[in-house]
Amino acid sequence: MATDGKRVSGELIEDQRKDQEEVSMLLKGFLQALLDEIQEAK
Amino acid sequence: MSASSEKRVRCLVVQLGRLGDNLQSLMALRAAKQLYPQLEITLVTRDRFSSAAKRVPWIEKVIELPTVDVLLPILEEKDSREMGLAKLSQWLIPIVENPWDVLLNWTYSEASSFLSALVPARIKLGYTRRKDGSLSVYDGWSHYIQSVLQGGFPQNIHLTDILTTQLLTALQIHLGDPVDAGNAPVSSKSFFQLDLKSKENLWNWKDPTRKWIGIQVGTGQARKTWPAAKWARVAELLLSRHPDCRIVLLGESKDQSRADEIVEAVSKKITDTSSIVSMVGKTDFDLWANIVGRCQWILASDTAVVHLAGVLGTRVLEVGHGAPRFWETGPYGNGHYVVACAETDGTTLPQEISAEAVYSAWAYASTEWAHRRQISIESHFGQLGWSAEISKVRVFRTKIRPTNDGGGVVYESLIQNPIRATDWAGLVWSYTARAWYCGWTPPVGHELERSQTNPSLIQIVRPLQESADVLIRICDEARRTAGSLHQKTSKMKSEKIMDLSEKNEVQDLGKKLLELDQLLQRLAQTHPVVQPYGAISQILMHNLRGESLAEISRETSEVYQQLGQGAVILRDWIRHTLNLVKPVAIQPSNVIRLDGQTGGKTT
Repeated sequence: MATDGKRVSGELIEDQRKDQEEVSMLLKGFLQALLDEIQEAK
Repeated sequence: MSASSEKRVRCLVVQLGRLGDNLQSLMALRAAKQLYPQLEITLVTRDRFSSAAKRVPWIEKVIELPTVDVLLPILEEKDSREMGLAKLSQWLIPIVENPWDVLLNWTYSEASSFLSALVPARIKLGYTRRKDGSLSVYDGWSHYIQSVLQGGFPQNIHLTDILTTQLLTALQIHLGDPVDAGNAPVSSKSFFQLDLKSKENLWNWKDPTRKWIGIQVGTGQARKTWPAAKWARVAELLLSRHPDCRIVLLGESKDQSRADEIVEAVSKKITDTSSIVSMVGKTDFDLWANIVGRCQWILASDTAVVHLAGVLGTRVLEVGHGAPRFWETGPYGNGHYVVACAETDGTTLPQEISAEAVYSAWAYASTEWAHRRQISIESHFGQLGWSAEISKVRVFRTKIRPTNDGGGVVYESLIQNPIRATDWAGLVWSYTARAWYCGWTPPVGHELERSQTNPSLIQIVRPLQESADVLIRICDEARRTAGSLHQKTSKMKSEKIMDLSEKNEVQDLGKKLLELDQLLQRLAQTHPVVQPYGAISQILMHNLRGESLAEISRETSEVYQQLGQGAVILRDWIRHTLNLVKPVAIQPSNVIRLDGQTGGKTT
C-alpha cells in the first residue's frame, strides 16, 4: 500500500516518488479541509 | 457458515461529526456488534466529541483527532502548515500501519474523505478519494446519502437505519450470515460504562420518588434553539399540573443565562422552588448521561441529548423548532414524540410552536398507559382547552416497524392531516432506496392510506404521470445505447486504434448517450419530485470505476437500469395514489335507504 505508516510519517523511500506525492497530496487535502471546516463553523 | 466462528475483524470507523453524530453511529455499531461479535471496532473522532465513545465498553479503541494540538495552532498562526502536516503525519501512524478489514467513513465530509483515502483497508464504505484526488463514493447507500440526504431532498429513512443497513449488508456479503442474536434491544440503560465517582452527589435527588423530567435548554445552533421563555412556560404548566413531577435543566456553560431565565420565571409561579433544579454547566458526559438515563422524559430541541436519551432508552419529546429533518435525525426507538410546525400554504411563515402545544403533546404522551391512545390527540388538546393550538402543529410518535414491514423507525402522525406533497415524495424516495439497496420492499403504497390523500396532492401527482413515463423511456433508451456501446467496444482489439466506420459508430453512440443524459437532467429540473433522479444520476456517473470504454459503457448501462427501476417505482406510486382517490363502488347490501329498507340499486 502507498499509505503505510512510515511513508505517511514522511520517511518515504526516494524511489517511491509517486506514492509519496499521492500521500502528500492527500495529507495536504486532509489538513486544508479540516481547517476549512473549523473556519466555516465559526 | 456462522460468522461467529470467524476470526476477529478489525473495523475502523471515522466519525468526525458532532456528539449527536457519534451517538447515532454508536447505536448503529451496537446493532452490528450484537450480530457480528468478532468485530473489533476502533473509532476515530474529534477530541471535543469523544466522550461518549470512550465510555462504550465494546469499542476497542478511541483515537482522537487532535484539533487543539494540530489545527488551532495553525489557525492562531502559532504553527506553520508544515509543522501541522508533520504532526498530522505522526498522528496517522497507528491508524495506517496495519491494513484494516473494514473502514467505515460515516462522516460524509470533505476532510474525512482524505483520511479514508490515506488508510489501507480491504472494504471501504463512505467517502474516499481517487488517486487523482477527486471525491470517490462506491457503495450504494453512500450514493443515496450524497445525492438525496445531502441534496436536501425529501426521504424518510432514519440515518441510524441507513448506517445500520449499510454496515450489515456489507458484513453479510463479506463475512457471511450473522450469529442469531434474537431481538436483543440496542438501547439500554447500561449502554455506557460511566465513571461517576463522587460526581453523582452533585445532583441531589431531592425526591427520588418523583418523576424527573429533563429539559435540555440549548442546542448547538441558534436557529434550532427554542426560546427560554417557552421552556419556562412548559416547565410551569408541567409542575403546576403534575405535582408528582420534578424538572432538571440540562445544558452547557454557554446555556447558563437561559437556565437562569427559566428558573427565575418558574419560581415566580411555583411555590415549591425545589421542584426545578438546574444542572446547566455542571455536568461532564458521565453525569449528563447518568441524569438523562434516570429521567422519565427528556424534552429538547434537535440536539445530541435526543440521541443520548434514545441510546439509554429514555423517552423523548423533541420540539421541532428550526425545521429539523427529524425523520432522518430525530429520536430513535419506540414511543418518542416530535412536535413540529404545521404546514403552511407557502405564502406565510410557519407559526411558532407554542409552549401550550408542547405541554399538551407531552401530557398526552405521558398518559398513554391510561388512555391507551383510544382518545385522539385532538380531543386531548380540546380537553385541556387548547384546541386552537392543534392546528398550528404536527405531532408524531415513533414506532419501530416489524421486521416483516421492513424494520426501521417510522414517525407516525397523530393528527389526521392530509399528506403533504413533500412527504409523499419522501415515501417514494425511501421506498426506491429500499428497493435499490435492500432488495426487498413492502407493497407499493404500504404506508399511504386513502384518508391521507387530498385534492392538492392529486393536483401535483397527476401531471407527474407523464414525467415518470418519459423518465422510464429515457432510462430504457440510455440503457440500451450504453449496452450497444459496450458490445461494440468489447469486441474491438483496441480502443485507440479503430477504423473510420467503427470510430463513427462509437462516436454516434457516445453522442446519443450524452443527449439522453442532458434530457434526463432537463426533465429532473421540471419538478421537485423527479429532481433527485438528476442528482443521483450525476453521482452514479461520477463514480463509474471502469478503466476502459467497454467497462465504462457496461457500468453506464447498469446505472440506467437502476435509474429506470426507480422511475418504474415512481410510476407505480403515482398509479397507486391516483387509484386511491377513485370513487369506490358500494355494495347494494350495504346501502341504507331513506325509507329504512336495505339494499337496492346504487347510482
